[in-house]
Amino acid sequence: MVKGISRLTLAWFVLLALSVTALVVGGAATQDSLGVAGTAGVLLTALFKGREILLHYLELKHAGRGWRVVLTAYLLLIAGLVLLAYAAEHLGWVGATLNK
Amino acid sequence: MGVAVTHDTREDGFSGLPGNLMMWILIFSELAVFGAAFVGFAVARALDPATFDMGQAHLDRLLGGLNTLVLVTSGYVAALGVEAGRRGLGGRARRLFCAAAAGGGVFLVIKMMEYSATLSAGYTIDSGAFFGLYFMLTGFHALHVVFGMGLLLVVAWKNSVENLETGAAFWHMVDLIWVILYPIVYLIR
Repeated sequence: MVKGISRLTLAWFVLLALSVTALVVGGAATQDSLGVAGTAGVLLTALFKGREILLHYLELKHAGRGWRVVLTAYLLLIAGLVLLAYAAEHLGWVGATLNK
Repeated sequence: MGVAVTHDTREDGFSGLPGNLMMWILIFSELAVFGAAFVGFAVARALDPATFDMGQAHLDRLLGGLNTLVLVTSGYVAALGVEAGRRGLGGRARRLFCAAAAGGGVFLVIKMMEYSATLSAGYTIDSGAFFGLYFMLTGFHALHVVFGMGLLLVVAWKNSVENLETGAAFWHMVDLIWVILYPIVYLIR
């Protein structure tokens, strides 16, 4: 149990650190476009945060493996689709006429 | 009885998910709805990036980031409350759940400051696609914070281990949705 609590506290620290990282990678003080790499970066911080919450706050580390797979896949799916939509616009695959 | 519900022994039943199964059905449906809305937001932005980037420039990214710190800290406090409940420390669990609910209150105060700045700058839910979706998504999330705070207080009062786990599970879901919402609505441009 003591070990569980210390991992929980570590999860909190990781979440705080990732939240600050998201502000830096996400250029919170500027209006510059993040680009595909920056967008992937902030989505990665969200993925890692989501994973900490799932495993250690929602205790999926103690649940069946299937739940971990399904919920991690959910996070990956959303992040992947959001990145795809961003890249499609940013790299000019779609919406070129609407931008002008 | 207390021993039977520690997570080390909880592996049968619904494959070891903490709290009441009905709550998990709610959590999965909430995640599905918010997930669809997030992807919808990203697609709407891809079709009209200029409008979205202009709208997002009026948001306070630091206040949104501060609210992330507030929610993950409140979630941590609720998780500590569950641990306390499992150890039979009902009074400590109760205090921690009240503190976690207070964290939700801080989140809402910051959110109101943000809304008030946006509204006084003249942007409302009718000010185009970005602000319509921004107010809808963050407002719907904030309603979940309000409901979650109520639930945390109810289970602080009726603090069986299952109730504590169930209330905390909802609260962590609210936390999870915010950490996905924040980069999509506030940062990506």
